[in-house]
Amino acid sequence: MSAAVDVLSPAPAPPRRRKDAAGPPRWRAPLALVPLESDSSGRAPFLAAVVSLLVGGLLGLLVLNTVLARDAFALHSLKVEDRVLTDREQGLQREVEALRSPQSLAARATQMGMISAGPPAFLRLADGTVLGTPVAGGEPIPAVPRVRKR
Amino acid sequence: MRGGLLVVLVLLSLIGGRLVWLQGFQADAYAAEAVEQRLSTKTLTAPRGTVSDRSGQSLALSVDARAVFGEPRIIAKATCGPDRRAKPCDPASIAAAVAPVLGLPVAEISEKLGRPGPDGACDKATPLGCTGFVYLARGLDPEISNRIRELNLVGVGTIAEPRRVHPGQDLAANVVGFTTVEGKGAAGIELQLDEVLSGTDGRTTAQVDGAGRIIPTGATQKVEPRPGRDVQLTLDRDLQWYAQKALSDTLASADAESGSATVLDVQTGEILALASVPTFNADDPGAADAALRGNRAISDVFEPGSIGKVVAAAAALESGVLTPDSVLSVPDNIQISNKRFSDSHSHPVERMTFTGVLVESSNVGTIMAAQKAGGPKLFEMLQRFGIGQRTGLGLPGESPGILRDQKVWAGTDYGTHPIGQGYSVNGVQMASVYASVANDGVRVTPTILKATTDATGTVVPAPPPPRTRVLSPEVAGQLRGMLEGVTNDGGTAVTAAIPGYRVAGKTGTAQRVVDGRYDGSYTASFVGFAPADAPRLAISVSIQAPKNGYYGGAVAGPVFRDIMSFALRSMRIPPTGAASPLLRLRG
Repeated sequence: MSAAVDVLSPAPAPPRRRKDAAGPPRWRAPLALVPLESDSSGRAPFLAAVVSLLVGGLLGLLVLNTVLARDAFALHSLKVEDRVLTDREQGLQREVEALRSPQSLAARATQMGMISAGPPAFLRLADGTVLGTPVAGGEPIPAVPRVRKR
Repeated sequence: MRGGLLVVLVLLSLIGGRLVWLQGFQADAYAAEAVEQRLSTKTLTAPRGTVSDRSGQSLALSVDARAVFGEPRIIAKATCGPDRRAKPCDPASIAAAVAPVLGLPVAEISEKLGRPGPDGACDKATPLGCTGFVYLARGLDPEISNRIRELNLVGVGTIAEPRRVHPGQDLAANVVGFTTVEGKGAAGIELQLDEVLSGTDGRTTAQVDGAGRIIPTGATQKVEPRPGRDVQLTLDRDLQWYAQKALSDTLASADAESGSATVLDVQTGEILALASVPTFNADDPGAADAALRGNRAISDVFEPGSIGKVVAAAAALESGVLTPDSVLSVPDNIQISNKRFSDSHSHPVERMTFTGVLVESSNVGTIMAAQKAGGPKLFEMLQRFGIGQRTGLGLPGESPGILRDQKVWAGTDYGTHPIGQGYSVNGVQMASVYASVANDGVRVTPTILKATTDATGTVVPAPPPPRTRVLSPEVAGQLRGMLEGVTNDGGTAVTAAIPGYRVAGKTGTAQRVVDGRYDGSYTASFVGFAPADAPRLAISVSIQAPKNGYYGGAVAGPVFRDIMSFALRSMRIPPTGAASPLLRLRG
């Protein structure tokens, strides 16, 4: 705009013109507004860039939030799953512990027809000695036969 | 046209005014309420340590359980729809929905859900007067709490909390004890080592949405809980079970009131089994009588009777006035001060060896031996053996028994103390006396704690128990020989003998003191060790008030034999193969 104003304003005569002041006035070409070159083709990429930046930013935010939220959802559902699995694990653990407790082992063994052994006896491999008195399981424990009185 | 504009203006200014009111004047309050709604602080309960036996088998462990709670304040605020049954909204209808699932009476739940707060009122007009939070049921299995959650009731919720479970139920229940529903130790090891077992709770603070999901951009704070340490006991789970079973069977067959048994490793002082019957289910301690929850092996004190004669024998041998073969002329009664003490059966004056006196459990002979040793020596020996003092186990509820100072002994006390009367002991003390004899005269303070393990898996063994010399090795050896005669033919406890093994021990049949006087019932006991020539285990058994037979040899002897056989078998302790020496009982 300022360029156009400059062209229109009656500029003060340059000093060089003053020297020729006596001469007949030179013909001046009529001045007209130079049409501004409409540069719509140049602005389009800029606009596109801005819009795409905005859209991209928005989309990015959206994606980021979605991802974060999805992670939160995933975390939540994993926690729920963890809870369920922990419950199952502990349930099974309790079952195992109960099954291997001495009284349930004894009950199972009795069910299978097993009986408790009597006093132990040992076979010493080195010399084939039997240590202790072997007693068949389930038989009454024999009275001690020793007489050690004098 | 203008009228329309006016309406719009009025509306707009109303909205504007409300906005200013909300955002300007009440902003802080609303913001605070919003934050409170979003912020969720959860306590991260520190897992309680496990109590296990010597091989690491669990005796008590914590598992996740659920609690169902009610919020009377929220329920009071709830508005009822047209159909109360379809959508419960008041204490009665909510209780009717919840009670069948929990298996509790409707009235109890209803009362809790309508419970007023401290200021006493709870209705729709003043919901703030209602209790904020009340437990409806605790320690539930997850399935039950899931069913409650599916009901989707207003003012009823579920939370996770740990629960103590005991896989063996009554196995070692009197030793391990139990916890309160809040998870605090209430008895036994759980109480004694509560600080070790319980860790430090942590917490998380996070912003959550309506469904309880954490808002990712919200600030989160987390303090990790510090788990409690695991405790390993010296008990052997199988032996403990067998001891309890053997005792219960005898309780039934002898129609007795109660019983206890202690199994000690004589070399290490470790308690391998500590049984007390009748017992209780540690998973449900509330259902049991308080009397059943104690630990009889340390809390029940009784006059030892004949099992205490070993102390008098030790005093006589240690002071050098007698040897096992010394011959005494033993009448069937003796006058001490103003009391006449007699043997269990009348007999002419007999020339018995000191061994014979102990084997046949002669009261008169034992008193004569103690007279030779002297009162101060007997008292010193009782003290050295730990009578009248705490065992050092540190378990709650222990009674050290009573041993009066010799300075205040009356004349008859010099007759009662040698034969195990006039003072009282608990089962562990008695086992410890015989373990000291078995261990060449060195008393190892009984111990039940083997190790603790922290969260990183570092095992810290318990400090070794103190050892004190009670007897010279020679005297201990002489006593072992004398005690071996008891389980041999001619002794008072052939029922305690184990084929193939040499067993030493002593029977006891003592009158019980109930409420300060002898009530006519008996304590039948047997204490002994095996193998007699290379002792590994000492066991004391005492049965209180048996009605079907009352002699220690008849009632307690077989229990000793059964528990000892089981222990020798499971610990693979072979007999030495050496024959018992001949004992001279008569002079």
